[in-house]
Amino acid sequence: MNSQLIQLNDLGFSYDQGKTETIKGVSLDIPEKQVTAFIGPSGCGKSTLLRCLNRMNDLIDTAKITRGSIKILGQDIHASDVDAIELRKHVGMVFQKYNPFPKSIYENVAYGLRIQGIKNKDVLDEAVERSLKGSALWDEVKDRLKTSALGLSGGQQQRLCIARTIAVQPKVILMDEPCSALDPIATAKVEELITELREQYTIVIVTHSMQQASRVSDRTAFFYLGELIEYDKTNTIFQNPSQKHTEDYISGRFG
Amino acid sequence: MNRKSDLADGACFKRKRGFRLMGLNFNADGIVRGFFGGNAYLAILFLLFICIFLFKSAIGFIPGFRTELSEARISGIEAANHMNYQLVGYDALYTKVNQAFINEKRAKFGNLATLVPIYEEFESIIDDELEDKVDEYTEMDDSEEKQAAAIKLTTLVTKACGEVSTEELLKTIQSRLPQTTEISDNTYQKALQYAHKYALNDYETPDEINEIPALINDQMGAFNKAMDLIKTSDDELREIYQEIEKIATKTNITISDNRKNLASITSLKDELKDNANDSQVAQAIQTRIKELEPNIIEIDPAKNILPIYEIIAKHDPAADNMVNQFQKGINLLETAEITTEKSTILIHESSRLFQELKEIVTERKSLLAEWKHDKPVTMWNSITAFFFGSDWKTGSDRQSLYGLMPLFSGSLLISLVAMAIAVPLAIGAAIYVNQFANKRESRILKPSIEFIQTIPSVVLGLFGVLVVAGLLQGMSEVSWLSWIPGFPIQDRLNVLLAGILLAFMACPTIFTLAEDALNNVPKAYSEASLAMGANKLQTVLKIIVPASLSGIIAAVMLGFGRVIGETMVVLLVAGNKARIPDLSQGVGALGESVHTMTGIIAQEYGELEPGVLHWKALFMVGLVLFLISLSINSICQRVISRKTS
Ligand SMILES: Nc1ncnc2c1ncn2[C@@H]1O[C@H](COP(=O)(O)OP(=O)(O)O)[C@@H](O)[C@H]1O
Ligand SMILES: [Mg+2]
Repeated sequence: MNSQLIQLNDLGFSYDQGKTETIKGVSLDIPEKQVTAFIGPSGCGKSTLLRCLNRMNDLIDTAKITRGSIKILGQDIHASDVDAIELRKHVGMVFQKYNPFPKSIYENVAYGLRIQGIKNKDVLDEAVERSLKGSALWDEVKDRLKTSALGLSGGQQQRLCIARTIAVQPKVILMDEPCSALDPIATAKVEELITELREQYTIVIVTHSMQQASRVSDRTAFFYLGELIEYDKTNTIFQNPSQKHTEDYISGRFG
Repeated sequence: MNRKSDLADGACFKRKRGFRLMGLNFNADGIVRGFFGGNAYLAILFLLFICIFLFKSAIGFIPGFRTELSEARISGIEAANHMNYQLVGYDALYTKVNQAFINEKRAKFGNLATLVPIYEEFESIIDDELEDKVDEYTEMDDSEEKQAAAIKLTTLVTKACGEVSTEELLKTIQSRLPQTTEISDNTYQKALQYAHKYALNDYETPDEINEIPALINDQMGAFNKAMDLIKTSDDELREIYQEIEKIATKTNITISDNRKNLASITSLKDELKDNANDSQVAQAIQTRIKELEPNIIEIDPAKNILPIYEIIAKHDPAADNMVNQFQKGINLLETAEITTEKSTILIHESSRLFQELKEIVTERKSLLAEWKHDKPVTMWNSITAFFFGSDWKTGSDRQSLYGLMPLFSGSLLISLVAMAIAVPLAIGAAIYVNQFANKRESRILKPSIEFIQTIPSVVLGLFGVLVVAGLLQGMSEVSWLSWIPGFPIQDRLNVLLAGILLAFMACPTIFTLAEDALNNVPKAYSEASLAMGANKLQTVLKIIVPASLSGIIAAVMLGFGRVIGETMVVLLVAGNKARIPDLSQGVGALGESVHTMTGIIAQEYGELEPGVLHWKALFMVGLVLFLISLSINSICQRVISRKTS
């Protein structure tokens, strides 16, 4: 199988029926079971690109792919026989602001399975435990699974969101600045978790923190005004960028 | 001093001087605060006023009602009521049986039963016009002319037969009376034949017509006999009821007149004390008292009370007699040949009602056995007679009854029906507008639904009476809809109709609040759900609705509050019959007319003199209504605050 799990080919995207492009012809390949970071100044289209990958942008009426294609596992995700709902079962997403459902911890994690019609309690129990362990939350919450998820701390809530995502064992996990609303200690825990998840999942993470990108990612893509400026191994990007623009951004000269 | 040095010594921090009035310090802040605060607290003051006003007006009802109840007891009205109660039950039952009888007659004989009067009319018309025509006809010899005249003649004869065409008449006669084979169904011939006979002055009503009454009688034999039994079964009981009622009413009037006169005398005597030194005034008062005193008539036990017990002694045999005779009738009915579904249902219902009547009779018998004219009526009796009383009867010269139950059950039933309709509608609409509709749609839908709220309720009520009532009744009588339980409906104005219209009124309230609640669900929740691969429907049902549930419940409760307090619509469309709907017949109860707590106040208040017992009773009803609304509201507040905490 192709080790390039996600392939973007000259992707263009517009929020306004194609009048202006927010993503302007991005081509990049994302390898399997690695962490790929998207960096770049605010408003350059990182989140937009990320949300193209699970077709969350479909929810905006005027949004439109203007050119190019996205293939995941070799399948064009905009092909007419692809169902965005099915796609999202395989491409999970963790949001910038942690957003567990106003339900119990257990129900949050079981949600993805329930909507797939799984009712068997043993299967659910097993999946909840596995996911919470997988997101390093099990020990903290195992005695209070039936209590509301909203009673957890911010860092715990974000890890619960990760647990909720991995419960359905997706191929890809998209993370949009998952630590931007967390304090340093919680951030460290989530970063640690990302490093562990890397073993099993392909992760694409948007971050505004250079350090985070350098700490957790294998490859880094730098965007500017909707264009991909540079994409390489993280080490190369941070130590020996080929573009002046990238260097300026990383060293904090603009952004 | 300039400003700079003010700053330097901190004097600028000091409170600006306001003005003093009556020893109080006023400044702009305080005035603004007072103004807005005053507006806000006005609401509480208003609420307090309403409370005080309601309590003040309603107070005195319970003791007043107690007085009336005890007067009814002493005079024997209460005992008379026990008897009347059974007769009312009998009347309801008789109506049902009679309906079955009429229905059966109609089904068996169709137009035949109506033939007799039609023929009578036919003859009278024939008298006037036909003679000339027949003369003309017999004088003609050209066959074409004759044919034309024959047609004219036929038309005339047909017209003379009224609604039923001659052809139809003949057909009916033929099908019902196979023995009269010689009747041909040739319209011309027959009409001409009658016309001829008439012209020859030997027209007679055909034998087959003359036979009809006997035939009907013969075929309805068992039913007829049953009806005869049933019709007379209540005679005896009715007779003794009338007897007891006559005596008791007279005594009752005497007693309440006495009470009023005594009250006047007492107040006059008080006045007399106050005016003891003014001899002229005192004289006048004395005269008044003298005038009033002879009006007070002693109740003579031998004349007023004992006869009642004598009549009561006759009650049980009379009541038993009614039941037995009715039972015989019912038994006969069961042997009678029944041809239509409708009659079967009616007879079935009659049997059920008869069981109820038997229970009523047993119950009233034991009540009458224990009845004593001098057993005191307690305050508690008066309270339960109000709250649990099953009759609201006012305005007649007999004893007034102020029982809340018919009104309460009417209000409740209507509200429940309205909610059963409005809740799914309004919440479905809210979900649609909030979650599924595009911007254009919701720009049209939202204001339209909210606009319903601005329709004056009297307009909606009139629309209900003039349009919906007819539609509903028409629909309920359509035969292919008869599978719907409760169809056809009994009364034109009924619970269902009121419920439908009130649902219409409650919809905007529930819709707006539920839509708000749905809107308050953070977008992040639905985004997360969709990103998990849930579809729209799953997201709505599993995430958005549960997250806004408390808001939706509050919306429903407020809708309920609006419905139970609504007056104009129910007054117009509920039918205004103060009776407890007969729930034992199931959904059919929704087809009954009822009265409501709000409706009764609006209807009866205007005609009353302030302060009379009836007036106070209406305020009691108002008080109950107020407390219900208050508790619904406070439950809502609790639900909402539980959500925010
Ligand atoms: N829902 C939207 N509708 C229209 N424009 C949007 C929407 N979301 C983002 N944008 C615009 O698209 C551009 C890229 O935004 P985004 O992808 O959020 O940037 P980043 O995540 O890199 O900060 C910005 O100019 C932003 O204003
Ligand atoms: Mg972003």
